[in-house]
Amino acid sequence: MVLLQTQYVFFYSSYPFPTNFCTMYRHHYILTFVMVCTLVLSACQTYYQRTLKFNREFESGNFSEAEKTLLADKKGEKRKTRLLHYLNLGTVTSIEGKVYESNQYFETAHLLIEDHQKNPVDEALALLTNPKMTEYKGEDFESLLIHYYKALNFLKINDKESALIEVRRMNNKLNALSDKYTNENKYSKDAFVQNLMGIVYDALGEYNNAYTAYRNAYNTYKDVYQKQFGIGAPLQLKKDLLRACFRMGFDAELYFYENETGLKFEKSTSDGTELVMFWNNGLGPVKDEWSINFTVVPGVGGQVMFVNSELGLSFPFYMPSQNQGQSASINDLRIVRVAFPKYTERKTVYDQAYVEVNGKQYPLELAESVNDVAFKSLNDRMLRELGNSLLRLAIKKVEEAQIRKQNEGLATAVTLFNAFSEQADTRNWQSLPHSIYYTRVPITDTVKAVKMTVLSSGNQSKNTYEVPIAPVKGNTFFSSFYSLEHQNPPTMQ
Amino acid sequence: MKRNILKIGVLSLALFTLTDCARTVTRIDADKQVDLSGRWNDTDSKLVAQEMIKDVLARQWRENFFNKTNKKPTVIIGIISNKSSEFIEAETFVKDIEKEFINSGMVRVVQSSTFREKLRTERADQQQFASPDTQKKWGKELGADYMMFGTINSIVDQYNKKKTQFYKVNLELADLETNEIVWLGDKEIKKFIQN
Repeated sequence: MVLLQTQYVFFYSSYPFPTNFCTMYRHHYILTFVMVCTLVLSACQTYYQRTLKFNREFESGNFSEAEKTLLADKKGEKRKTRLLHYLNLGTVTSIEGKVYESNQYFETAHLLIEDHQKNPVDEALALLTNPKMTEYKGEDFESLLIHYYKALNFLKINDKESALIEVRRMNNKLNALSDKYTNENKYSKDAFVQNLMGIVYDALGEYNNAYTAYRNAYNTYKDVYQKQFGIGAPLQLKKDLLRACFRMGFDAELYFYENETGLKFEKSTSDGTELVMFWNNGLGPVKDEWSINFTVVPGVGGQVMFVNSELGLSFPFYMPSQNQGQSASINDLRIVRVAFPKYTERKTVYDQAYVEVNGKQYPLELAESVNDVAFKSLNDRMLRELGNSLLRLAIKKVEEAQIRKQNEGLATAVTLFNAFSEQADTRNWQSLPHSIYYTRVPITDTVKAVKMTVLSSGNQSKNTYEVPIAPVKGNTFFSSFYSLEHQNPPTMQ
Repeated sequence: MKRNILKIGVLSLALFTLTDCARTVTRIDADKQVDLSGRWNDTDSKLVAQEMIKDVLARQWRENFFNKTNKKPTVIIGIISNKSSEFIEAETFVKDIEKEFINSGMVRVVQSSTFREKLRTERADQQQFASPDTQKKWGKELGADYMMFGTINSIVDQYNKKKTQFYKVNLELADLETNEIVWLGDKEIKKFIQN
């Protein structure tokens, strides 16, 4: 895959070799070429390929080895991908049940995002090479999901105050997200995180806040998620919302939401001991690279147009610093390749699950499709990505044209380097689940294990596992179940 | 040639240096009004508490109570329900109300049930471990005469990049002995936000 991409780049590299290349600069440029190719080829790999050992260990459920691999990477904490290093460590240790370590890693990741600032030198280098030169700052949804893991880790050790801090951080990030995008068609609200806030507030006895969170989540599922992802409000959320209304004594709201949801509130007869089970199903998408060829159409007054008639894309670029000679050089390019990031889905094996307690089954409901949110997030900013990539390309071409005026041979080497270094940012948090399901189950404190069954549609594949639990009377017990089974697309096998 | 490469590099650097200034942190007066997002903030909490307490203290109930008992009324702040779409920390609002009541010197304020329990635990502890002359006695708690409770509601109206944020705070004061509502008040805040 890597070689194919490289050949593709080479084929479309814009400048031909100079006629005197073999005689005048042969040894010098062959050496340079080999060095550049060696360097760039290693950098050509996607983030998934570069962390393949960890990925293979994690995907096969060998978490202790996966953790060792991450810890053995001594430069992991210093690279521009250090955020992902900590996110992966946090995820792996969370699955291993090492909640304290997990939360330390996630806290570091949270602070890296909070304190992230663009480094001007890195940004300039990114314009001259590719966006991998900048520090990875995380996607919005990745930033939010840190607190999903952290809050659950805290709840598993009954640290309620810390869990509440995570919930407040979720709220701060949700507010920032809705401020960032005023357009409702963009990913500006996260219904799952709102729902999660409600679940945590509810479990910690903050019923008013639980009501607010449940209501916000219900509205987001109904008004946004249904339209964007085809995910409506889970039945469990509707029940929780009615219960929150009742508990707060909000009679008018209870009546309203009973009519709205078509449900009738029934007071629970249990003693308040409950299990909230989250199912992290499959693995989230992986960022890959795709390319678009643009035809460069010369304009007037230093303006060039990057045109792809197949996709109906057309971007003008104005280059005021060009003189006539440069303009001609740029316009000579005809076709240029621009690399963009894209998500590749890792399809799930299972799509249903239920918890069984005392012979009664409780199905888990889909609350978040991390996969769909990831695709949506990238699509939302695709135009900006296109613009950034084209700006990068334009700067590279101006650079080549400038050098060509001075030294034809070196310009060829720079052209090759630029063609090879034209890569997309393929970094993302790849140990996230594909989708998250949940259910709430009334139990008693005498129940020490529940059965968790996962199955694929048509029952082609079905597995049942025993999940140990340790509920306390009158409290909510939180548990997470991971199914890492997934289908890698052919390009990742 | 080197000069040209340098030029491009410097240009790119300048572009990003200009667009991304370094973070600065400045301490400001805690009472200074700063509105950033348009959501409920500390200024709203203080403003509503000040204005509503000013109103409640100016009404007849207080004078009636004083004429009847020749004492300052004792008030407890009960639940302030948040029905808005935001996570408003009712606790800070309650504290602002308590502060305004106490600072007025016209009413006495007693602790809420949660803190009463903590005080009782401490008093029980004193009976065992504190010297007899410093031990606090049981049965001397001040019983409240009135209880204040209320709701915070909000309505958001948004179109494209324009938004209005409307808050309505309703408070009421009830006689703990007779359940009679002796005062009703509301305060509205409307904000226009343009992105």
